[in-house]
Amino acid sequence: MTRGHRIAALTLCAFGGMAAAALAQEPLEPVRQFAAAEAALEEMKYRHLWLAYGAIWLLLMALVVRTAKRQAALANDLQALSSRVEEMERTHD
Amino acid sequence: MNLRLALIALCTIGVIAGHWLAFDFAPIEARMGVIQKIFYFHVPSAMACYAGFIACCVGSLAYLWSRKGRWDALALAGAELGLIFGLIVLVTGPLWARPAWGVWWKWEPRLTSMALLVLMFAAYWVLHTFGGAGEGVRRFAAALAVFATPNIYFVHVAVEKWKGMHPELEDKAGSGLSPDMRIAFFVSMAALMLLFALLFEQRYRMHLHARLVGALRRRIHRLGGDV
Repeated sequence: MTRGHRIAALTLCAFGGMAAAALAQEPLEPVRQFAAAEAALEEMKYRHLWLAYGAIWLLLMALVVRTAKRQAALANDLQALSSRVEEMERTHD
Repeated sequence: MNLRLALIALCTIGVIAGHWLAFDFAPIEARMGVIQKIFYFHVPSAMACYAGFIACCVGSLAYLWSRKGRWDALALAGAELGLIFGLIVLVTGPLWARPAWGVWWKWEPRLTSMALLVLMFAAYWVLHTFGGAGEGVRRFAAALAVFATPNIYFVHVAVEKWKGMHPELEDKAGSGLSPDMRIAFFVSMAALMLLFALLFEQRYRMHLHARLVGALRRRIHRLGGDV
């Protein structure tokens, strides 16, 4: 498992955890039904808030994955170019 | 287990805990309602934005002083993350402002100075990324970052100095967050700052490696090889 895969797996775990936390809201007591209905209405009003949260975390996750991918590609390039330089310097000598 | 993985795990736990505390543990604010929850993400993002821009300034000063590429890489990593978190601040702010003020945007001191700060560092990033590989461009970009950074102070004191509409975390009378809100806020802040630190280290290392790859390519070219 590469570093990029590990980072992506951990980030996915974070998303899973957040979704679980959101779903694991405790049911409200019957005496607070009116308040619960109001809260549900208010939550519906602020749907864009949850969408924004999701979009922001997706943006950050995309940044992590993109950086990890670029980093892995650069590490490969670095290794290949280093050995090539060594080889060229040997033939020059 | 290495330190980096341990920090990633800690950050993940912190982010999950921060969200649970913000949405389930902390009470709903009496006047603003659910929309106030954005504050647990908006303020830490602003702090991460400041940290990124300050890192950019430190890196730029050190680069102007020493001309060493690693400081330039550090400055660029700071500017990138400052911009990303700054954009998050500029997106989450209007999401709160629409229900709270009735408008998406208001040209009040905190918002205007924050937008200017982000635009200045956007100029740094554009110049650095698309201005070519010459050292003159890097020096010019570094000077721009040094001059843009003091604007952080103006953003920070804007509400107090120019009496804007933007809410403050604590007022002079000592009212502000309830203890439960305070816990949620500080956990969110710690998690996001740790995320910032991890991303910063990752971007810095990436820019360093990119410079090394460039240097090796130039060396191969000098030795007569194709790259």
